[in-house]
Amino acid sequence: MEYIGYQDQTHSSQNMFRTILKATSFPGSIFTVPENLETDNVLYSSTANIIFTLFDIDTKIFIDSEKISKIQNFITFNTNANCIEKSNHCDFAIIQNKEFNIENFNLGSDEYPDNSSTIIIEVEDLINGEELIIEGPGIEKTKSISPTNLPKNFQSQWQNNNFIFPRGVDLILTCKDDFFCLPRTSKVLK
Amino acid sequence: MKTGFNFAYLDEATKRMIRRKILKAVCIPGYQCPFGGREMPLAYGWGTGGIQVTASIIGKQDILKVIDQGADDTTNAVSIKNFFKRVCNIMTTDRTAEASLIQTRHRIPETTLNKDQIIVYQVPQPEPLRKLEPKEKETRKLHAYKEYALMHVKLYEEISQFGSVIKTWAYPVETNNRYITDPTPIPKFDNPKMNNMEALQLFGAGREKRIYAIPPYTKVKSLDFDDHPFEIQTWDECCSICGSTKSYLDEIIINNEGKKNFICSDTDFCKSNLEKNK
Ligand SMILES: [Zn+2]
Repeated sequence: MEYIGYQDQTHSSQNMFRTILKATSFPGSIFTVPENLETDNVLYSSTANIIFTLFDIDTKIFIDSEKISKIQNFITFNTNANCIEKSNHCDFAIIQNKEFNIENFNLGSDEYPDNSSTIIIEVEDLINGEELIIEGPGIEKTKSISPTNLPKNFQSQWQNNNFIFPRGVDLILTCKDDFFCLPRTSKVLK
Repeated sequence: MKTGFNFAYLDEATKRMIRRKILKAVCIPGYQCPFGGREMPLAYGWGTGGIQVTASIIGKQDILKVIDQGADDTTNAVSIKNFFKRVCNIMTTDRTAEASLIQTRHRIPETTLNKDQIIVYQVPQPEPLRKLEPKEKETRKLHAYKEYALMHVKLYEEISQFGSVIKTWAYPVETNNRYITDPTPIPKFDNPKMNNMEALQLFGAGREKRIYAIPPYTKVKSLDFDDHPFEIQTWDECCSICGSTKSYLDEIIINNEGKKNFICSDTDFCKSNLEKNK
């Protein structure tokens, strides 16, 4: 396997981090990654950018995908992160399957809610799915999002995620070179 | 780089660790996120927490402003600015409107910040409940279960006993209807600026190794009581340089008889205001 990451790790990962930081600060707003990364169709370029920016030997990764072994190889080879089998212990999850259950991930504790999973969900499309209206910190009034491929009961799952605040998971939805964030503070109005 | 140190001084693994913590801090507004700090080439009290946050987010394209008590030219502000010039080779500015990144101690600029800016506060003591409860394990529980009754009682006693003047700095706020948060030793005059600010607010505490955040457009409420509503400081005087009646004023003694003058604490605002009125 060949390293396909950033030519300039320091500045590229800084640039991508600022894009993720902005996306986390403004939930539901779609951002484009600064660099296109080619992964032989294992992962989206946006997912790969997140991996190269945030994953390392200190992070535990859970993968739910048909291509699990390819993704695992990709991550271990490029970042030294630890791929694990227990979703409720992971720092990050990469999801390519449509069905998932937020409750199976690390929700953190009341004392340490930051000790919780960030779930990266690869969807087919970020704008042509069913419309959801969200509100919360980082959103001036309300924001409309329309990703595809979310589980049928996503709204009730997310409601529960809001309910257990400050515990909970944070989501990043990715598609090709684009992504947006859905932190636990974002509430779905419809 | 072949200069003997990394861009922004910190090694990539440390930056990544701090970056992951910053993201979680933004997801849980007002929550104090512990991080594994790294020793910086400055003593505590010089804003090491703020410096570590700034070092983890700063990039080549950033324009940095550093203020201390509202001024860009104090020793503390200048040494931090020089540090980042040396380790990042970035541009700096005194102009609030031109800066993409602002590191501050003790003030929020008078000029309204926008959504493309980030303000990083240096935090001497991140725990607003520390005076009531010295044990970290206990304060963490109080935050976890939103048990803030004690804090309200203490604040009420202070305010009703000594009048509202007693808490003029570091006046505690409630972030997003949840966590009681220390706004750092800014004057309470600046507290309302934190509410629904368009810019992302990040807080770094070096000694206690904590990061917390207030995302843009987030409700920040200064604690108060029906019979003692929150009020900011006001002055009868205006700035003796630019004539502003809206900015936070510092009192300076100008002669041996103790004659006092008032000037803007925010030196960039004062300069801009003076130019505008010329
Ligand atoms: Zn003035």
